[in-house]
Amino acid sequence: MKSKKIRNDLILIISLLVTFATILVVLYISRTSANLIANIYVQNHIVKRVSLDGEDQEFKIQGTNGELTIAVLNKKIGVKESNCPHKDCVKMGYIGETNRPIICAYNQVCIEIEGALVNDIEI
Amino acid sequence: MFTYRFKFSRKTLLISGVFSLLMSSCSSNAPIESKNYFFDTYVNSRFYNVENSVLDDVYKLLSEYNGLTDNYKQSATQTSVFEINESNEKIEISKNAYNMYLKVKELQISSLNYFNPLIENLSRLWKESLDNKEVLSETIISSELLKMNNSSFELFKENSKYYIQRNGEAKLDLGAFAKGYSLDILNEYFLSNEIKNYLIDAGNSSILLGEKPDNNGYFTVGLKDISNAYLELKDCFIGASGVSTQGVKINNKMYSHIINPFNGSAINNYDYVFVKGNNGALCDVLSTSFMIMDVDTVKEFEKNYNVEAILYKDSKIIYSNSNLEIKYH
Repeated sequence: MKSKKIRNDLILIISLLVTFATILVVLYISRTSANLIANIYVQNHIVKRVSLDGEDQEFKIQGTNGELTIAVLNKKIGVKESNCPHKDCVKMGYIGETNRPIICAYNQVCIEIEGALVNDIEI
Repeated sequence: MFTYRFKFSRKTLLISGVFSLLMSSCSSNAPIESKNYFFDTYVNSRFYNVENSVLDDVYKLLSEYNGLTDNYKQSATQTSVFEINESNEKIEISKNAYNMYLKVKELQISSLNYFNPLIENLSRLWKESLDNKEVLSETIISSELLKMNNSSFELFKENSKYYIQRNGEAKLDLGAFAKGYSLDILNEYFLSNEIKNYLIDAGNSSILLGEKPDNNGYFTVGLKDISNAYLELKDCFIGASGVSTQGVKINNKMYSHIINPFNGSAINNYDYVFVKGNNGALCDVLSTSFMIMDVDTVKEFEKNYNVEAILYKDSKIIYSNSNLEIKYH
């Protein structure tokens, strides 16, 4: 009777631990392999959400002072062309798994990767 | 049999309780975030364990100082830098503006004039010139430096009213100061409201870190251009300056938006400077100033102002304060 009790306890504890470990693994995998989504903001509002896991593409965004051509290339996103005077946004290149946003101050446009996990912040 | 079932059930409850605790410890402490366009960039705010009303308060504070420091347009509610630059008259300003300009004066002195708030004309002319891929002429630089050195601004307090008067032709530009100072204002607000868990990022160049709810309170701060490098930091300010995005190469020389107030040059000593400290305005001002200092002078400033710096060029660290432990993923 006693040995059966211990065996049942062990089974319960092990099955709970296995379940717990499985949930942790699933959570970890879902976080690390989640689709990368870029949010594009103009004046504080999201105007477009783009998956970086799809095909390469190009599209235009209307900023506060003109148009920007945004490109998705090899699971990264960047500003290909902009009417801003300094072209800082174009020079920032393409971002993928990073928390460093691309900002076009002239057009008040910001491109940011949703839930990028490498660091809390990139500077 | 009945006794065993009862005990089993109690044990089940106990083990399930422990399991639930484990699960709840794994659940993410979801932050609340906001993104606002201020200071010609985006300010990202992230808070943990706070009421939504904190976001409104932060927005109001940032909005006030954004209005005060704007040198492109008038502010609806504040006397902006733009208005002060339009006239040499004595102009009434708010008490908060007065205190802000006192800090500007203090930092100009303590930075030994590496931070010169009257650099607007020279800075603007360099920008216009670099947009055309041209180097600003020595004649213009000399003329603008003369104007800058012959100009000043004075502060007055009369009958409980506050005033500012700009003298001379040089105009004010608080770009190297505004974001950092605004973070100091936010920090005061957080301290008085006992808000501890936050991250405020003003355009990736001025950052205020509280404590993260996990990782012993430390945030991971990735270092630009240095592959996989990061720092773990909490309860501090960060100032960062760099030429990588705003630099223009002409005849193999890199010119930046950071202008040396002593000789008017737009050539910097480093590609990127990182400064960690306990004061936002100081970190902001020093991150710009360090760009034009040699390493020994940077070390001297670090010692005198209790800040820690990393300097790098061509994706290599030229100098790193030994108190900053750089880690790699």
